[in-house]
Amino acid sequence: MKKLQILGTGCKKCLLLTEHAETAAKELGIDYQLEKITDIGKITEMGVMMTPALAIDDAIVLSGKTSSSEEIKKILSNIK
Amino acid sequence: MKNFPFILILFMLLTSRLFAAELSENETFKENEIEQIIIRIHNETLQGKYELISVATLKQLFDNKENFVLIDAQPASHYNKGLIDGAKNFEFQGTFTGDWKTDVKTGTQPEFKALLGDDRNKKIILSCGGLQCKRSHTAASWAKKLGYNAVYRMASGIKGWQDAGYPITTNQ
Repeated sequence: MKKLQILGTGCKKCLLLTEHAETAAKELGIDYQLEKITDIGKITEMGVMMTPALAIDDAIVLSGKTSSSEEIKKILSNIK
Repeated sequence: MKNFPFILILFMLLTSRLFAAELSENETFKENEIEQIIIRIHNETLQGKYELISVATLKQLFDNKENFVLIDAQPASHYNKGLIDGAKNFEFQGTFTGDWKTDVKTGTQPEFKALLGDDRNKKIILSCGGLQCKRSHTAASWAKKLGYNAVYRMASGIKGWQDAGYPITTNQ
């Protein structure tokens, strides 16, 4: 199971990124668990300077943008 | 307590990157320049009758999920490029005159009050680009003038927040 982590303190773009990441995972048939990280300290610890960000199993793959579900699908496919 | 703003600014400066040995070339402030900034902000704080808040304390407010309003007084073009998540935008000019039409290019007092809310005791935090930016002074002075009781200026602004290593977002 993949851990999809959305990092952000609640901005609209975080919600959009969540939506896109979930769509991408579902379309690829990936078994995933969604985690929302809103704590500024934790976001900082993970090395993110720009939110929203997406991490897969604790590794940051996107930062500062809400990529489309198609772009996230490509990232997920490369990790699989 | 009259010296409190002075001491707080001194603390902020001593603990900031401005004072660190590993300053990048284009961010170096000499001690006399730091002193000028301390004195200016001290005087502005006395004039505006608001309080100062550090980046660390603002972070604590977020951590504690406190109910507060954060306003960025920069022009929208700057604000949209980098903001503290949750900050609202209302542009003020860098010199406080006490005349709304001089201090604010666009936007009305009711619009500003609507951003601040009805609770006069809620914490209102004003910030802008950095220690050299005086827009947060004008904004904080207006919040006090309009009757808000818990008004704080985060003088190091978005730059101080980033220098502390905290994340920002964009509206682009």
